[in-house]
Amino acid sequence: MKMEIERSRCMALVKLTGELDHHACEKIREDLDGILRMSSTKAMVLDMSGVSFMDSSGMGLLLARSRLAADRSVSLVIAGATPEVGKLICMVSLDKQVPLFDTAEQALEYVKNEREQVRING
Amino acid sequence: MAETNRLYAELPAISINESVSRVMISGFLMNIRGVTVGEIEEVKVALSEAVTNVILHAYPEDDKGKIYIKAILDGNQLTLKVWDKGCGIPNLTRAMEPMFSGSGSAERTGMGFTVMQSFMDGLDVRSSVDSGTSIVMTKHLGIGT
Repeated sequence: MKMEIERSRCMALVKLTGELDHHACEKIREDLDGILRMSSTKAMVLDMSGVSFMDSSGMGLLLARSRLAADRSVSLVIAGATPEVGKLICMVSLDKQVPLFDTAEQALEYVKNEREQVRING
Repeated sequence: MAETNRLYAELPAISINESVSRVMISGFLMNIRGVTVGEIEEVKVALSEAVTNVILHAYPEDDKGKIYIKAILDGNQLTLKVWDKGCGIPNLTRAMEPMFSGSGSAERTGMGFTVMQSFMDGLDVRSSVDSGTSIVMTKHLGIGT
């Protein structure tokens, strides 16, 4: 599992590539939590377009990160999930808690607009 | 007459073997007449769940045993068995409930058996405390065959 991180101001774009099973989850969990716990992080886009496989360990990883993001008032969105990965995301109703987008670009646009609304509303 | 093929593997119950088992079953299923990529993906997920269960729950941390995998292909009918010789599951009925996790970790969804049931046609789980657990899954592969 490869993880690439791009940061711009308060947003983090995290691109995952590879297979998201229990073995991979053990390796990336702390890194994801580190980003979510940074005080400067207000939004995280998880680009899963490169994830070719996921099982319930991956579902658990995403569910726990969505809880942590909610606790820290970080906006978490998921982009690019394949139909197979999307099926598992829906199985645990994660799609009800985290917005899903077809592409990272769409997700980044959504997050930017959301941040802009927060700025306007103070 | 339908062709029969068999696969048998014994792997140490360590997490790197989750992906090893998936590569193995993909190769085993690849040349079945009419099989789809989606069907192979579903079998891979179900197998990964069963193998991960063994790695996480069957053996003590300091004494990892083996994962046993047997696949039988009778024409387009797949029977996949995954078993261990570990601690067994004390309350199997409860363990098979959706969202139940014996570990208590926030990282576990307790959806392993539910995923296996959803992605395969049949699921039979047997367990005996201190003897081990066996999971037998069946699936007909190849749309229209």
